[in-house]
Amino acid sequence: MSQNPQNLLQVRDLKVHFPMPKKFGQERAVVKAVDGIDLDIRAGETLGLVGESGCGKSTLGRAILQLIRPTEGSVTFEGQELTTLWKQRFGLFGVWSPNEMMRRKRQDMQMIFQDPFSSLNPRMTVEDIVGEPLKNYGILSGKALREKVQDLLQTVGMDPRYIRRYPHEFSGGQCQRIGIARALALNPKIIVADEPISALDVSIQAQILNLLEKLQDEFNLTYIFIAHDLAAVRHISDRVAVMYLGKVVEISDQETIIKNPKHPYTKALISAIPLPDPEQEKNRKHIVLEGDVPSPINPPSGCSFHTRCPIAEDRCKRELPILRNLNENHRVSCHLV
Amino acid sequence: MGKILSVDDLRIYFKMDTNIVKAVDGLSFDLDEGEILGVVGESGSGKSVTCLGLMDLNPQPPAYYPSGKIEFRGTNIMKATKEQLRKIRGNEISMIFQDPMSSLNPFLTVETQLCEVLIEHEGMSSDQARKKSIEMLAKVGIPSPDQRIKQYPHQFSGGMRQRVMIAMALLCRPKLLIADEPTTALDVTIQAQILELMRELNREYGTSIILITHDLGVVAGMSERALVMYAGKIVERASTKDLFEKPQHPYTHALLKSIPKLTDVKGKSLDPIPGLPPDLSNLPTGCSFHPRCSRAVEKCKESYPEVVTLDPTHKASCWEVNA
Ligand SMILES: Nc1ncnc2c1ncn2[C@@H]1O[C@H](COP(=O)(O)OP(=O)(O)OP(=O)(O)O)[C@@H](O)[C@H]1O
Ligand SMILES: Nc1ncnc2c1ncn2[C@@H]1O[C@H](COP(=O)(O)OP(=O)(O)OP(=O)(O)O)[C@@H](O)[C@H]1O
Ligand SMILES: [Mg+2]
Ligand SMILES: [Mg+2]
Repeated sequence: MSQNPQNLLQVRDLKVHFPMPKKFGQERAVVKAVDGIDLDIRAGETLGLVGESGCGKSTLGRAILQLIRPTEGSVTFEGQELTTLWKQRFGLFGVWSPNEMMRRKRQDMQMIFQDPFSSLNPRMTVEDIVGEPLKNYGILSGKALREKVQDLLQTVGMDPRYIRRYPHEFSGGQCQRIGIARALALNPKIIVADEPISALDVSIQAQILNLLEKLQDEFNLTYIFIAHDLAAVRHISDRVAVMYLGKVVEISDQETIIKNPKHPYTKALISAIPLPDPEQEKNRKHIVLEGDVPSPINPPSGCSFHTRCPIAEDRCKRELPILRNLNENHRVSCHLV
Repeated sequence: MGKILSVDDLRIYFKMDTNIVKAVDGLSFDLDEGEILGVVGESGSGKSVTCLGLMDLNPQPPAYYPSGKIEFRGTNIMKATKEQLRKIRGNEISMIFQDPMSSLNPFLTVETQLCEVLIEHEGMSSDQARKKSIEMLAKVGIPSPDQRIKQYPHQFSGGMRQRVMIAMALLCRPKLLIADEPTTALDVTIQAQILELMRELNREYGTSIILITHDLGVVAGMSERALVMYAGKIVERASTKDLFEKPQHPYTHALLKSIPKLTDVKGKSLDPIPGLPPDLSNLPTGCSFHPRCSRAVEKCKESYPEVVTLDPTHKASCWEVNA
């Protein structure tokens, strides 16, 4: 695929493999958390990213922002290749760390982390946590910094008087909002929001979704929105990518994904959404996926979904399907579509 | 059926430098043996603090209990000795914490942590414990469990960590399972699998379950009865069916209205409840919900509403609700 100037971000054949503990006398196994992903993300859009727990969503998000170093592949942000902006300290065996250029780029790229509790430093006050990026980049200090932090708290629906408190004094949902305020602090261009609303009750979810949309309109923000709640994803996303075992299996606009999914995995996902109505919910037919979730250590041969696919044929066990265009904005990787 | 737990006028406050946070403020409810009770409510309304309170796990200080009684199978938790509490926590009540890392040790492998439970509480040999732990990891949907069990929690994804903790809680086969947002990090398919495991535990061992969740869909499918909390108090309690079909409290109404639906179109603004959640150290006068309530009248600012009983199982605390 070629470069397209409209894209804020381009991801090509991205791989992240984690080594497993080595067993004596055997090859070292790896977890193929992200295993060859191509994505184009346009400025100002929201790309929803859904898929089973463990399929590699967080790892993909982190690798795009270069919070972990990809094993292979390329990520281009505003025309700049990011994967080369790492330097190895202390010689050949030293740790990889980002260089100065990356530091500057990171100002425009923020992450809202999945785990609201452990992503906040327990020894820092809310003021320090939310204000840290502004201070690090030398943007604000003193009274102006405090006012900005109070503003940000208010924006995410929290009482600005809480700035002196520590994370353990907050509930799960409150911690998640502190993380959101921190990500907003630098006015980034792109935010990878990793399950930003999963710890929130529905009313505050709605507040945060509305807020993210408002900020997007105001600042032309771009989001990668990771979530397992398809209704919320549908609500906020322009396009949705469905991941399975380290790969994107279907991508299209949100309407098509919900109403006219093509991949059997997407179909199962959509049928499994619980409905907030006890009568409807109890009488509803779910497509239950047979079989266990396969392991990213030894993914199945051919199409990695074939072990659980209700319509799999012989060929699916042998041939790896590629993500191909059904039409201009709908891509699926399934032999049988 | 007998009661396994009864909570009466429970208050849990936090003493801060300059003020007092009233996280739980006069909570009373019962739980039957073998019952699954749903608890929903606003973020920060005191759900987790209540759960921790049931096992006496809130850090004291700053927490203290101005009033209340928690009776679990004949033992008053608040007067129990350390030894009694230790036994209850290990064998009879298990908790799935909202924050997985608060019950997982980052420096020990998953294997060590799961096996410890079985060796200590069930007296298993380490081989037996290992086998059983791997089985349980498979049940909660962790692929290659025999290899993954050797890893540390940070090498697992968010949802996998949550499932390790669930596996740990289920391994003990407790009398009471307190599950605080057990499936928030999980996608629908695995969520369904986990909820089924909980139902199985409930069916086979008669385990009672308190299920805290903000996912009204989960409550709808799991529990017969639910409580709705707001600002440290129960504002409505009803059978799950009634709660969805005829919610009485304006907060419950608003909660049901703010759920995003699959039928929504992109860009349609959701209807969140206006205003900020109340400051628990400086609660509004009268009904705590009145500043955000569309139906509030003068009386709501003056005094806390009495409980209105619509029928023996359906109660709401609101001046505007008529029996
Ligand atoms: N250690 C503490 N010190 C001070 N305040 C605390 C402490 N722990 C909890 N709180 C406060 O008690 C209130 C209730 O918190 P709790 O964690 O029970 O909320 P919750 O209903 O579980 O919310 P969520 O759905 O967001 O998890 C919150 O306002 C929180 O800030
Ligand atoms: N630091 C790490 N070391 C080793 N393995 C890791 C590491 N981080 C992630 N993994 C593995 O990579 C795979 C993908 O994890 P990831 O966190 O990306 O999943 P996810 O899709 O975000 O799942 P969830 O919905 O549960 O958060 C998992 O098998 C996980 O155990
Ligand atoms: Mg994740
Ligand atoms: Mg909580």
